[in-house]
Amino acid sequence: MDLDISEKRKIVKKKLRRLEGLPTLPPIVQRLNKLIENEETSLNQIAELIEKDQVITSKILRLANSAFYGFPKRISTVQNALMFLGVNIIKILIITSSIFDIIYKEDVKLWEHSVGVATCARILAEKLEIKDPQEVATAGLLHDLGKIIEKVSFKEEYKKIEELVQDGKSPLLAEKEIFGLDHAEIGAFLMRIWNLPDRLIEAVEAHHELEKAKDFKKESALIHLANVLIHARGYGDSLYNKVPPLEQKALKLLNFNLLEIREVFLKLEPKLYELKFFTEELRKDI
Amino acid sequence: MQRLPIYYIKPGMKTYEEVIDANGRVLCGKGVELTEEHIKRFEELGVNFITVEGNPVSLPWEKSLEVELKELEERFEGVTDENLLEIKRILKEFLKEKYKESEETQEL
Amino acid sequence: MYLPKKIIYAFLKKDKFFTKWKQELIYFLKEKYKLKSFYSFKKFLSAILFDPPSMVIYYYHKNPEGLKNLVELKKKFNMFNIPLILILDHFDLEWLISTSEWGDDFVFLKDKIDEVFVRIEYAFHRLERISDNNPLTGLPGNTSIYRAIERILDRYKPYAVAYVDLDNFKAYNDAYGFSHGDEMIKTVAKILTTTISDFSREDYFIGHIGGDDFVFIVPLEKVETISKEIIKRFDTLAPTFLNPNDREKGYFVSVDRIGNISKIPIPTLSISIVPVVKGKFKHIGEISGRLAEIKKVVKGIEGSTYFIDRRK
Repeated sequence: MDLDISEKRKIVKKKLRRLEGLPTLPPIVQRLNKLIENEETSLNQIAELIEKDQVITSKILRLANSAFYGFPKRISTVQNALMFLGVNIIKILIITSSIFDIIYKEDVKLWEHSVGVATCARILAEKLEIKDPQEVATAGLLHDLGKIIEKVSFKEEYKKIEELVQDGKSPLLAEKEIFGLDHAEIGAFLMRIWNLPDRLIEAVEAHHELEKAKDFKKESALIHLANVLIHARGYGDSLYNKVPPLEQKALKLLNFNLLEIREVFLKLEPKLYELKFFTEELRKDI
Repeated sequence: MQRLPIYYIKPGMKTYEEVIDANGRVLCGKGVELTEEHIKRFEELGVNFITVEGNPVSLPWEKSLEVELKELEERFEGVTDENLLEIKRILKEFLKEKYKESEETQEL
Repeated sequence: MYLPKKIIYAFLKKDKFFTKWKQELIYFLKEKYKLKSFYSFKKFLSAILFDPPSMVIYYYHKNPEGLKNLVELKKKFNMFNIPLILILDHFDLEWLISTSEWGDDFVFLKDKIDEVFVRIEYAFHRLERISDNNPLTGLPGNTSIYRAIERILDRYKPYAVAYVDLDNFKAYNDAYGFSHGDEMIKTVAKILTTTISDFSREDYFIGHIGGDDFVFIVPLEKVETISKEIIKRFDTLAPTFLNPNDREKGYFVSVDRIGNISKIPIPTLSISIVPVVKGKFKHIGEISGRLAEIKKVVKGIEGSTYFIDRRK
């Protein structure tokens, strides 16, 4: 049965609205647990660890922006969320960690890629003097949340996409064909339901198609560029091994001269080096 | 020299540069042979990474320049966009420089 | 006016008994309330966290350990307005008495469903009727505050009574509207609750007098650390209450009735603190008098500040 695109979209959105659990990387949860148990741990240390995991980050942001606890769309970084919710909320979040803990070693590269983009986004934001660099970094962390959702909650369809990509189709087109939506739209859709701030949502939604950006064109271009650079560097992975296209528009919007990339790589490399230890330890523990 | 996370540091390793804590305070000079006590104290004070002399730990995920460049080519296979090719060029140069540098410091 | 149905979350055991129990209860709840049942503790807790209901019914024996987590969640998130009804299989006097601090009611397995329904109705109405809790923040109000202060007047352990209020709040409320003002109050309440409970475990009290006035009581040795942290968290989050323009300028503009324009800085917190030790004060009035004096001092200092009364 071949449904048309809008039908497929409806079905996917319906399922997304009912989404129950998101997967977690058990080793990260374990480390969090340890941190929380130690009374000397500071809020910053906990935030630093959480900022390496897009799923826990999205859960915390969702809570902090929930209408029940506060003003929607106000909190955009893990640090602020923890200041608002208190650190003990993590204990409860850990207990409610999804039962979908079926993460394979190969999935760690998804996490690696997202943390890489977050790091690169931060460096770019600081270099280009864009305000609230940590907020932009958070958008970088969350940019591929949709991919994780696809893999875990839409297993059948995800396999089909993998097949299409192997046959040579572009991953974005494959996603649109199977879901009616691509991972950027899926991520943004969820973030909207969760009342996350618009700046984060737009940057995620437009990170592959810049024309989708309205109020936050610069931020979207930044995440777009950071994504390309991390793919280029080969840190972590997503659905494909190839470098995604880079829109000329992005460079214009950011007023960025490509020659400045060297400086970015210079700053990025030591950070990626350190992060690698973290993600390799995760692989060992799975 | 090699930069390692605190949990990889063993007594006997020598510091390549000063060890600083999160507040910028110098905890230890360079060229110092680290003891159990040193390492424990650094851990308590929240030090995450230390640069030591030599290359005491072989990290299985580290790639040779050859492999890096090969994988780089694979990632950029079929790419014709000017900007992307420019990025590739810069990245290639950067990697070569990086490996040359580390070779030089190994020899020291 | 359309009022959405109140939702009740029930944590039950998946068996024949509860299937029937649920069905019968739904018959009574009918149009008034919606019942959602849970059999997995994780999903149950997660739902309460991300989608709080109006009431929780908990079958204790399905997961006795889990109850502690549930109660902690309720406390940490100030869910005073969500009644918790326990389902038990037998009467245990001592245990039940111990739960009276946070439990709202209990029913037995053998009770008839119409009785369960009456208890549900009682719980909801009781909440509306007697609530000393501030409707905006859910924190205890004046009666509870007085009682809490009275309790520590005679304790050997030294405590501190702190009075918290916002500077420039009225101007903010006027410029941004009461909806934003309410959000700021709720945020202060949230920061107080989470910070104090993070640092002082069980030994604390937090009350909301009204408007932007709060009171908290913590052990004396912790009051400074706690006050510093509260201020740090509030100052970090306060800028998010201004629109991007004002945030950049660092102030917002307020016009008074006559038409005078003033530049108002971001609201800040003032914390006035009075240490209390056995025998120092005989009467609450003395404490509130001291707090008023300290308040004058704190208000005069720019930015978020705390000040401890060091006099005997």
